[in-house]
Amino acid sequence: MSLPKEIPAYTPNADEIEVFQLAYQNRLPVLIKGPTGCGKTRFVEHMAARLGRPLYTVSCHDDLSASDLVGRHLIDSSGTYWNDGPLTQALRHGGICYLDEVVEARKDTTVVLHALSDDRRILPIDRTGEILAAPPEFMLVVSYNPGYQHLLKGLKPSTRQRFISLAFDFPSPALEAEIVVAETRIDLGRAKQLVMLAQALRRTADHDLEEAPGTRLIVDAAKLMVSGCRAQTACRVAIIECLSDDPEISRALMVVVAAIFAE
Amino acid sequence: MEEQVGLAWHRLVNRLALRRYPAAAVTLSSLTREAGLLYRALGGDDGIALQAGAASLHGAERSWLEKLAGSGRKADLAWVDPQALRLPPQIDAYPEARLNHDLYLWLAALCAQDPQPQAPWFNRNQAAARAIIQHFPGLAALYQRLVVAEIARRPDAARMDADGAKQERAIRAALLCPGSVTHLPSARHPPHPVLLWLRPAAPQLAAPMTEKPAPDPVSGASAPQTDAVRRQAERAESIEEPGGLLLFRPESIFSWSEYAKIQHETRKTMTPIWPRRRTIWMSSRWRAINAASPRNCA
Repeated sequence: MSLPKEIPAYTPNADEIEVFQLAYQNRLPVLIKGPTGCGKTRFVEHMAARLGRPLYTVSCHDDLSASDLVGRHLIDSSGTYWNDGPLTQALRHGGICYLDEVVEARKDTTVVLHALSDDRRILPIDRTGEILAAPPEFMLVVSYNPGYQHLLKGLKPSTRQRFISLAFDFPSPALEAEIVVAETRIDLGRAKQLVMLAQALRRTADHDLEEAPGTRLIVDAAKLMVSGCRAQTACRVAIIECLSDDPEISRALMVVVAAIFAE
Repeated sequence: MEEQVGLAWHRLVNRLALRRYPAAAVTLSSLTREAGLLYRALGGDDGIALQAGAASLHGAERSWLEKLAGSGRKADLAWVDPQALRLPPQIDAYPEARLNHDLYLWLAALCAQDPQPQAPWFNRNQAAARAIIQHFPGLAALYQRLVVAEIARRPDAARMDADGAKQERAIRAALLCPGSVTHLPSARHPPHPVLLWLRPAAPQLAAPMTEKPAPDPVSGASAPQTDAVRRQAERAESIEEPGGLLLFRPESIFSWSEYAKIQHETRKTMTPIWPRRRTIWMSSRWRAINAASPRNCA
């Protein structure tokens, strides 16, 4: 759980802030979809701080089951006791529960999400016999990368249609440069070069790369450059090597870096 | 002996006329990934392939050695068509391999950044070079190195006629400062190929082949193209009209020999190999012909 101390910086791309606030007021769950590194998690953190609610973030993975979200009995020196999972804690404290990359979780989590995401807003805990009703301040937020969906991993229509959906994408070049400057205090000229590099690499995503570089990568490269790292080195370690393990592709990507950053 | 002398002369004159550096050659196959990725990254069409293009006749003035050797007529230039990005199969124009390698990257970038594709060749290439230099500092440095090498490679304007020299100087000025020259002076010959620029006119695409190629008359199989170079070919319709050049069937000429007025006296003394009835018919036929017109025996 993270309690908001200061509001994390977030530059809106469209009207996502207003939509999120309206969904919160109407007690509707929100689904955020977009490529990796486009600001989904940062947006949820910003909104939780803006709304003054505690944020419970769960990074979903292949082994994440309903018990991991709801809770389980544990054993200590005093005996067996019930331990609330992050979802149960968010309900009890009226917080925002954020499930990142929800398509990665196991299918039994769907049962838990369905009860919370429709008009019932309840969480049945079979192990303790409780049926928790979500308070008005509680909100369920899930996110995923549409590119990671396939036959075995995906949200069923019965799940998708329970949420208010926000589609995220990479910001415009001018906006992305502002974000890089705001995050790292790098000069605008080099920020624009980094954004130009990201735009160039994104054009090759469907052909040469598995995934387009996100804003996160160029922010990391900018941080290294502000610390004194050479531009081509920063781009190589923060961007290129994260995109591909193939030496031939990495060499070809460095040609693009060398085209933008002269040394 | 004559063949060996001819071969030795051919090798000698071609070596003297050679303006290439085979030891520093760079092939397209060695950097297909780099050139293709750079092309797509800089805005090129990601739906087309990267292939080798064939050399094209440039028509520019050649040195007397090249004329003697019969070489230097063609130049390997780059262009883009709806099917592929066409780059030279091999570049060995400069003495350093690094320059030849950089030329590939420059040509890929030039094909991607083409802000005035409909402009005349001279202005179009300057606009593209200018756009690249302005937006990509790394490629600007690469271009400067290539320009120095290209100008060193080009023919000396002082050895040309007045119009040719004026044209060559305009090209050099355009290379050194893209966008500074708006008009290319005309001359008796086309300008010497500029390796840093795109091909003046991309070859017209032929219609897709709908018929099988003609089979090889010896083996009976179609001769496959062993390399992947884009050829300059055009589809031509075969003219099939009745008649044609020959006014008669050639096989009928063998029957005309029967009517030729030649002396066949020895044939009468020879042992007849035909049946006797045919011999009698031939003899009577000859008597009829001889009776119709006088015969001049040789």
